[in-house]
Amino acid sequence: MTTKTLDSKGRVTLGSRFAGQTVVIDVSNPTCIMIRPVVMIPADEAWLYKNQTALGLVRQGLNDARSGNFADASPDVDGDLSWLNNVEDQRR
Amino acid sequence: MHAVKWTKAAKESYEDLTAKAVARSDARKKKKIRKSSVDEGLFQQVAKTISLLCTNPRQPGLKTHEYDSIENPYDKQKKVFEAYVQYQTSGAYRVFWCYGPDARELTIVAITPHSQCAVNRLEKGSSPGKGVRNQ
Repeated sequence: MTTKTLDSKGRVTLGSRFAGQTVVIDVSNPTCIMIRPVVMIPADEAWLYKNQTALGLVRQGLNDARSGNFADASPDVDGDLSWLNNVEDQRR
Repeated sequence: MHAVKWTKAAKESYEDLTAKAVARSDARKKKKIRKSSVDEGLFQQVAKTISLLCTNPRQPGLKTHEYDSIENPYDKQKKVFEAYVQYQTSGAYRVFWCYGPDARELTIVAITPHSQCAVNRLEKGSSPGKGVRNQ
């Protein structure tokens, strides 16, 4: 812990090790100024972090990619599309 | 055209969707139901998305966009992308992918349900609505 004095414009420096971080400053308590580092996530990406199943799948995929853990053989997507088209044709 | 690598996680998801679609198709044939099931429809959209991705990742119908909060597993300077299997539906699926590991390669990172609603229905053994198909 350390003591710092704010300058005439109410500024204080936290030190270079905090450089570049985004923080939330909570002044709701008049006796306490709280500074919390936060991570910003775009609003249209927030769903992923609320969906544990999807997040788990993405994290597993990223871990697989980093460690070179790839599938030995790719799925036969074109073959599957042909099968699906045949199913559609039979339906008609 | 890029050579495509699949992570084991992505392949597992794809095979899970395949199995569900095949099971529904077989069950439907036994009951002589003509209308295809939701699982078959979903699988068709996933397969079509993957096929488009492999051919042209910039195809407008994929609605591909960068995902800022995910780090590229091969190069922190590069991006991870999300492609839409479906959109404007509560049961939409997404495909996460990135370029690499090598030049002219593309990795399918994960295939995920978009909403918790889709996850819940998936866990119950049925699939979400068809939504809007890629063109």
